[in-house]
Amino acid sequence: MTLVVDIEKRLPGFHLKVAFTAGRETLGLLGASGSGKTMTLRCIAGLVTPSSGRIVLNGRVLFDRERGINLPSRMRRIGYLFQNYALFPHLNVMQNVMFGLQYLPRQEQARRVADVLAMVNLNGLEQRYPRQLSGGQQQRVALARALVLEPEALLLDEPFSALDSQLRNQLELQLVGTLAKYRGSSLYVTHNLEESYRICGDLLLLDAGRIVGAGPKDTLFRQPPTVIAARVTGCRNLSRVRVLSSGTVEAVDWGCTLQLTAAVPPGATHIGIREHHLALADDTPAVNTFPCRPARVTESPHTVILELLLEGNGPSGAQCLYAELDKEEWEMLREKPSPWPLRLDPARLFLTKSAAEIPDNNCRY
Amino acid sequence: MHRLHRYPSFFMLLLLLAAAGCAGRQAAPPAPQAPAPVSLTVSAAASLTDVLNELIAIYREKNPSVKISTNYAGSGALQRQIEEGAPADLFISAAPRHMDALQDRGLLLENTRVDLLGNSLVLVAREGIQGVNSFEELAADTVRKIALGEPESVPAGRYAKETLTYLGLWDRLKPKFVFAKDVRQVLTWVEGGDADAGLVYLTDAKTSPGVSVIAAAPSGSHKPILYPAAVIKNSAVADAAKDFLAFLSGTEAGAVFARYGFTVPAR
Amino acid sequence: MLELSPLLISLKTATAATAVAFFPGILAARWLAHTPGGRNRALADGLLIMPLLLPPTVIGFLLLLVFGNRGLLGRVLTEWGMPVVFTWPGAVIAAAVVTFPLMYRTARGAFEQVDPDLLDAARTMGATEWLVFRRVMLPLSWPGITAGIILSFARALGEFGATLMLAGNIPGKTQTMPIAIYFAVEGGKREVALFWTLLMIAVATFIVLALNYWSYRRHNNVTHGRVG
Repeated sequence: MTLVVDIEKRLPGFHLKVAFTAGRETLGLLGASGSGKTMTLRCIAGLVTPSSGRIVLNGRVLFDRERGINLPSRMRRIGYLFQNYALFPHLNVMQNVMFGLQYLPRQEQARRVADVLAMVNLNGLEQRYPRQLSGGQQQRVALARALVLEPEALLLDEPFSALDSQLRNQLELQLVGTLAKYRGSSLYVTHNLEESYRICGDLLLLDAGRIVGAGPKDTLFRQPPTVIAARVTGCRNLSRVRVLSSGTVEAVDWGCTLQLTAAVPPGATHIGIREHHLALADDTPAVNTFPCRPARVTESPHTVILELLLEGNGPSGAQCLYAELDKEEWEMLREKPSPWPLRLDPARLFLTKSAAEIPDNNCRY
Repeated sequence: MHRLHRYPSFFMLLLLLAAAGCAGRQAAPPAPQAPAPVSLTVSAAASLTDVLNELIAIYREKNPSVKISTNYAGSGALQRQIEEGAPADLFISAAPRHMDALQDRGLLLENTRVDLLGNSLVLVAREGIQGVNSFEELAADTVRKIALGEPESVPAGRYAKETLTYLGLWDRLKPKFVFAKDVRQVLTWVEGGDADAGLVYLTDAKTSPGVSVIAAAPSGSHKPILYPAAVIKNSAVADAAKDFLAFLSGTEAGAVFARYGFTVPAR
Repeated sequence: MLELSPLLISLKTATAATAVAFFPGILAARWLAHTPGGRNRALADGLLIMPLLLPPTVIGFLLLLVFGNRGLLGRVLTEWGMPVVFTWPGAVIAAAVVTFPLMYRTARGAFEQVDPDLLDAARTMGATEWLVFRRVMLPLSWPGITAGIILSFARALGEFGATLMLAGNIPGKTQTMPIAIYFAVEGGKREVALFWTLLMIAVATFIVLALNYWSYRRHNNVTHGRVG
């Protein structure tokens, strides 16, 4: 079960260039909107013709620019779950699911439809029209409609973006279960970090039409290969470094010197740490602990984001560190006078590289 | 303009497209030293368009202070416009009937009505066509369609009906008739050979080089074709209208009318 | 005695003209809807709606050039015993040409209202382009297409200039209601003109109401509606 993709698509103002291989496990395409995720799926499904490259599914060439092969969508055997589900509004659930089956014998049609409706838990709704269904039911009809054709690959384009957040957990569990039973390759597009982490095994990180990171999700989140990959995976604390010794670096943008647990890898240009890995309340002296003052506080229902400036830096020129705290931690911390001790745990710090400079996003108050 | 009709398929289209553009070119600015300027509106039957435009140009050379606007349309439409109070100083109709209607309603200035022109009805066919040499031959099988103006609404059609009835041909030819909304349409059909023959005024036949005149309607076969003219009663510039009408009735204008194929009654 | 043939000829002509304009109109709309823009598309669109922009008399004259004795097509058709000028088929052709842009434009508008994702979804489900068109695009555009049919029929019913030029005014054969009205007005027969005018209004009103009622019924039965 392999899907090999190596394509380029040139559009005015946008240039997509991606190459990857998807296997049995669900591969996630993670990136901001406009990064080329949906375009990649549309190229694979044959809805958009790439400018060059090739697409091979289980040894079957779907597209090869040089050999002049471009199978039409209907012959690619690829299931596509659209972001808005694209259910046919004039057909009921049964007719929607049967849409692609008309070349099969009647009995086979009935058997497959019954199987797939049971699988996605939609029995009893066969006669309903899409507008009479809830968002979650619509999503399952769309999934059933794609799976009933037994596609060799399944493409899912942000299946939860059209749903209310309360609905998601339950549906996500169902979807993970369904995908686990599915035997083809599946590609899952999302811009949501948590969702991609929960649903996918391997991840591709997309930015401006390029793959900026690829691999198992744990590695990518723990050790992003590039600065952009770190950003795409949601890390906002990034600073340029100057290597002082094999175990010490100066974080130029934060204005501090940091101890590391391992030697600096060759070519490292930046250092980073995730927001929830910053510790604040601990008073016991430890390495990489610096006094800091808050520049801004943003409260969410359960957590608080602090933007912190290290002491000893001027009011301008230094870059903030973002720290995420539980509400309880914050309630205790706010009682104490600043400066507070901020600890950057050496085990949580990661070094990464970038050819490009980090754009200027310094705090200036 | 007449020369264009020799290549009807292409130039007629150009002509139609350009019609709006041409319309504005007729009027020349009045000479600066003119006396009190007068503005005159003439409502005239559409079949007079070319000859009247030529005559107006001649008249304005002598009377530069008179600005003449023209309104060419079917006589019936002009009659109704005048009845509804549309501004018109002089009316020239293609048939006495429309002038009679206005006279009955007292809309004409008394003692100004004259029978300005006469015309004759002719049988036409496409240039070079074989087998149509007389009215009688219209009954032959080779003649499939005969175009004429719709008798109830087009004067030329009514005269045509009178002539064909007089010749005892009307009922026999009836299945071959195609009725046009005006004489121009009759000519279009005959020029293209879509109708094998048609009945039109001599003046119209002369504007169409694509058709040839086969025969004239025998004298007495139809009521005389007359173009009456009169000044409208509530004209604000009745004297100027009378003067222009007198010019049209004069010998100089008569020569121009004759050149276009009109007959000028003895006065 | 009033001859009723113009009513029948008008209804027959408008029905036939709408039917004749329907298929090319739908095909042209399908061809130009959802295709990437460009100069060629704009040019094709311009040509297709030309009959709407030109005065009917000009269209009638152009048709006369094509189908008449001077046109090659006209001569060939006459040779084959199917003359067009001054015949009922001529009236149908004139009305169909004049009415075509309305059919094409309304159908195209209706097609472009259909969410392209629905068409793509059908494609990924193995549907050929013809099936995508027949089972997704056409049913979803049906209200718009019905409107196009109504408009086309109404326009064909009212067609005068091109019809008179190509088919002439032959009572009992090509004399439609608008032609009868025109000549009645020109001939000063007010009562006759008024009679035909009222009949025309009645026919038009009846057709529009009937089609609207029918399309409303259909709309409710089939449960049209977009995914909310």
